[in-house]
Amino acid sequence: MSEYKALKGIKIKTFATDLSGESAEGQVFFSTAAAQRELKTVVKQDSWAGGGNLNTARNELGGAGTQGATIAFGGATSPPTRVNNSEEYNGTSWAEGNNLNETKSGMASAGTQTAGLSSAGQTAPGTFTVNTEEYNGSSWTEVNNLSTAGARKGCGTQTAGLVFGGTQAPPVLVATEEYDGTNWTNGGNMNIGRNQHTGTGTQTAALAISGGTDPSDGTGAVEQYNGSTWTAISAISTTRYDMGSSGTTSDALAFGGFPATTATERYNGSAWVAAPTLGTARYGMAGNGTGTLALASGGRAGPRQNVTEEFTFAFPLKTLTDS
Amino acid sequence: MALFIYGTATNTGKNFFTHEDRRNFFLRGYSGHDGSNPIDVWVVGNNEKGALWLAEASGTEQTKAEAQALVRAADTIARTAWDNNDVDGESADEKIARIGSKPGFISIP
Repeated sequence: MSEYKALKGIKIKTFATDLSGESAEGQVFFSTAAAQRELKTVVKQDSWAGGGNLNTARNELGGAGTQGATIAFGGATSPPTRVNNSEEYNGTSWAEGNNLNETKSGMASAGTQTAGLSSAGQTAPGTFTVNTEEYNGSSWTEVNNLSTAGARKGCGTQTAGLVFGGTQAPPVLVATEEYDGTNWTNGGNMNIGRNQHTGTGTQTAALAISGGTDPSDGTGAVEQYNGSTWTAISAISTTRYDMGSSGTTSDALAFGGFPATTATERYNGSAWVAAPTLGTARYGMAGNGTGTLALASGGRAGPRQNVTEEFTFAFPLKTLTDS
Repeated sequence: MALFIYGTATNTGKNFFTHEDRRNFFLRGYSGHDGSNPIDVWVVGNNEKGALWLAEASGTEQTKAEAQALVRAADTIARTAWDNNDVDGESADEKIARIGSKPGFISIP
């Protein structure tokens, strides 16, 4: 039988505690961390994989929560009919939940699966709403309205929400509004009015990414909000509309977009770099989660889609066996 | 050897393609239409694992021209729907603002 040293020129080290993280990627080691001693390695996982399909195919839907616990709501089906359906994802499959009170698409989304927030949106061609609804993990309840109607984008939480930009077909909006769980107040205006952009982060550290500056022109510009003012930061590489996004101002992911694309970019707090592509080219999907564990749900590229994809950037342990 | 295999296969949801699949071969999906129903069109890296994935997904292999035609058919339907979605008195810019830009034609790799 060959020895590892004879094959590779080095011996395998033994560790009582499993190696982990990026620095250990690719290292083969003998683990005595458990009673059953095993040969292990650390592999890099950096890709989109298929998730469970939505029950209702749609685009311009809202999405909030984590990769393994998401609430998706509203949107437009094919042919373009707005819906108030609400579905919950458990990391494997989607289950129907109680519907939004209002049928709409293009809502600003924030929060979690048990404390979600839907603000504004479009209820019919040329008709926009200021309604805000809160989800408690079971049902949606109408709460105080925000000031500016439109198909808008947002981020944050149910008690610290942020809504910025959007459209009233036309104009494109620069307005920002902050929600404290009860009332809405005006925040600082964006430097570039835009719609069909995407947003992620918190009420005091948010990103507004790309989008359309007027009906026939787009921008790749990105702005960062600090709780009072928006500041231009590094632009994404490819100007796109209707992307999804997830994460924070120091670790964000922006994916898909119009024209239908699989392109994904990751922001590390200073620059955007290309990241592994989506499996299915599309735009108008919901995006939520973090920069390392994201979910892209629905969207369209021609027909509306029920596709869900899960992005994972991690360094899991793998036990090496004979097979 | 051709870089890609082309095929149709219905995306069945969770783990239809896995992180390991994405490491093992190129994969990109597009919306297609066969004249009767929407159909998922896949461009798959031409290696053993890619071919096996398409087979295990109960996929039907297509030529590149056939796959492109399916995608173009879906694009055509979307573009026609966009053309027909009019509101009296609405300007071109207002229409784009209302329903987004007119979908283009996608060229598969």
